[in-house]
Amino acid sequence: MPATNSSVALALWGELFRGRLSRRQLLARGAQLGLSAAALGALARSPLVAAAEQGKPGGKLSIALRRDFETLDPGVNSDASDGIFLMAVFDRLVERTPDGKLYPGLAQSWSVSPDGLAWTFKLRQGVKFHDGTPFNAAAVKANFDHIADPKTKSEYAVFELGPYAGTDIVDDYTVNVKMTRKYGPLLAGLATYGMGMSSPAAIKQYGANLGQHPVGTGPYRFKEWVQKSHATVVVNPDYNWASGREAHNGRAYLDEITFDIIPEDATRLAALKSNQVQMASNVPPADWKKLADGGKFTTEKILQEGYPPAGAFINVTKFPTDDLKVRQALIYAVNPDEINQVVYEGVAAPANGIISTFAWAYDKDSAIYSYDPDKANALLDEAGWKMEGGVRKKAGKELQLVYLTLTTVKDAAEVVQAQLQNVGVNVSILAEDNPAQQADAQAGKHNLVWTQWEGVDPADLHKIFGSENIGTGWNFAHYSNPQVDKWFDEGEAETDQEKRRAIYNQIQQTIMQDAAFIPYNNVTNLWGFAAGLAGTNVIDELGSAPQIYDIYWNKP
Amino acid sequence: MFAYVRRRILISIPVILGLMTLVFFLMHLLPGDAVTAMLTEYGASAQDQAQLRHNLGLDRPLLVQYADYMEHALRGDFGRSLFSHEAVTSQILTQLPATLQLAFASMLIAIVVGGGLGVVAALRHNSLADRLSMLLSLVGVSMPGFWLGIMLILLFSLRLGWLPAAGSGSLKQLILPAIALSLGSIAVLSRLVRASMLEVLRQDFVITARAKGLHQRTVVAGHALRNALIPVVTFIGMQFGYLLGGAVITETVFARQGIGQLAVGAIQQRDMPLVEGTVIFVGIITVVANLAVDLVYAAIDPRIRVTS
Repeated sequence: MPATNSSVALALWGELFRGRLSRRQLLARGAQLGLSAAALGALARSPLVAAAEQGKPGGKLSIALRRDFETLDPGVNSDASDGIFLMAVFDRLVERTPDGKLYPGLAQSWSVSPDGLAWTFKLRQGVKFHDGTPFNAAAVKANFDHIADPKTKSEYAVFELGPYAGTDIVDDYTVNVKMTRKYGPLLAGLATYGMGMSSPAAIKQYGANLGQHPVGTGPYRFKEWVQKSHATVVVNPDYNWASGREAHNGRAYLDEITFDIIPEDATRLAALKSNQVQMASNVPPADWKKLADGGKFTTEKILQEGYPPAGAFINVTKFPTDDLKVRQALIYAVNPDEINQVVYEGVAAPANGIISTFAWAYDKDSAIYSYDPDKANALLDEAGWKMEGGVRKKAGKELQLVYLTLTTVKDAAEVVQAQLQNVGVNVSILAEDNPAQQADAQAGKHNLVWTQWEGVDPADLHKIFGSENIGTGWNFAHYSNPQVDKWFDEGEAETDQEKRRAIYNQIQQTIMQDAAFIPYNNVTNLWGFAAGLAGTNVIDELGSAPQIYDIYWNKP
Repeated sequence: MFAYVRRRILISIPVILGLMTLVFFLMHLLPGDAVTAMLTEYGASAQDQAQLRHNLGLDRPLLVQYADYMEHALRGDFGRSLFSHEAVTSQILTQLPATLQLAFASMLIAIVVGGGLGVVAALRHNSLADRLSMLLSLVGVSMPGFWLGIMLILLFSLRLGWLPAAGSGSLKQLILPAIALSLGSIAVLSRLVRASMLEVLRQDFVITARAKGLHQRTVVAGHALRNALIPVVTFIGMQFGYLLGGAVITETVFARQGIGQLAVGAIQQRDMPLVEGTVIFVGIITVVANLAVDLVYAAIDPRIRVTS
């Protein structure tokens, strides 16, 4: 007997109530199960569904992470995976979602002067740091000065702060942040985890040891960090606001959270399955796909913004990839779908450009290539490389490329090697670990080098494709285009998002036309959870982890 | 005796200093530096990198960096990690207890089990028990520690739920890693003890002891074993020194704190002060272990006496 609309709806609501589905998943499942549009609409609007989503406070959680924290001072830290801690213990002036939308954080409003050299922030009132120090203009100044101070040795925040010239305190809750030149990406930069506001009293008291004694304003307070073992945070009961990008406001739900450091994939998964932890990061794709079967666990796939996404830079200065036709042929010959299936079990999504396809600045008109081995063959013929017994030759030389990769993604290299072999290109793989791989990429020993970069603003592309970053910087394509360099400067100086979009569209199209990068896939972060854990689908600003602020236990 | 110990310690100081120098220059032969290791996810412009290198003091000439580091080290200041900015000494001290626990526990298991197997094998020379013990020993030394560790977790944590999969705080968390780590030592010790015992049991004084009518147990424990111990003590001393340097694979698989993964992580990150700190630490441990072995020789064998 076919299931009726109401019985299906009831079953789905039960799943929602037991925390096994989020609202989004519920509607997707409903559609899959054939609920009529009217029934779906009624379900979505149902007050029962709304009630089921309201988080219940209480309970503890253990989260298994792959790597220990580098440091708990957000102003120094450069490890994106530490964001899960830093987003919970600290707040930022501005908050953002990966679609580029900004929300008021510790700053309730902001404006920029007409000459672009001074940003005025009106600060949220009534907020205290975990040590009781009030949050105010002096605190903001102390933080920015701490980040910019060479003695702090900031590895990320200082770069996001851009051409910072100092902070003026206008009154207790107003600051003027001064720049030496116009800088459009500032707001996106202020929303990164590196810009968490620390208590100025703690900055002064702990000095170089601030990294072991984090004091923020966030929904969780720091309790302890036993290095290479675990860190613990407890709920901040005085937290009484939220920026609007979260799913609720006020106090966080869970009482206490422990971050357990478990580097080995198999051990981390075993810890989740044996309930030693209830949430695990970086679940291997094959295991992740099966984890939700049986209803004891749930999963999330979080898309991480990349500038560029995972892929291979083509060294435009080294023979034979110094020939544009050869480079274009390579892009046509690579099949990102196959890479996704073979290496990531279909869990990642193919990329098509130098920016992740879901980022706000992505230009779909820059996606000018598709998998087309015929076109690749035609281009290589045009370039004078003639097929002779499986490999192409020109003037007696074989078409031979060096592909530099990390040992952890050697399998992707092997897939691409086979794909390029199909069009007569011989690839030799050089697999190294960081930092050796980066050093060799800077030196240009490769024709192709695999990499992936995270980022929150298209201005980050400047570090990757700007000509001054060849050799000593991160321009692994060794790409030099004066017009693109000019556009980078314009894009950074512009503060209007739509104007910036137009500039970065041109950059994306030009770089793809010059064939400096082969896109493979958007990076996905795979998380596993014990069933009964809800609110796991609100993600942090760049897509590396769920925000633990919104997570709660939804067990009956 | 005291003078002997003091002389040994004094000689070891230039050895450790030489080791530190060697490591410093070897590390700089490796491609990339700490800044390259830090900035693997967001990238940074060439200018930003230069600024960070300058802030970290990494753009100074190599000899200047070396002299600066050695000068501080000789005054007992081993600096701060380039990554966490935490004092190197406190980082090593934090990781030390877990390493000590694992080293002691696995050594204890190895001595009891390995020693027991070896004695049984020697006493029942060429019997089934002997062959089985040696087979077990061969299997133990051939099994990759990485694989064995994961197998133990899958069985005892996941399937049976008896023991935790990871961590280093409690006794329960020590059991599986200690077992996994002890296997290699059990294998070597059982063979060593067996061979040593066999040789001793053939000696004249053993025949004499038996002829005197002494109980088999007294012969074995009181006389034979003591003499068989000398190569075993050598092994234990050196193995212990190695274990205190940290069993990286076991620590990684079982997510334990420890000097091993601290050191390996520091090398991978080109975190110079932390690398040097662990080198000094392991160097001192090795010196102490060697010295202890020599002193124990003297204690168990009156023929070997130290002279100043």
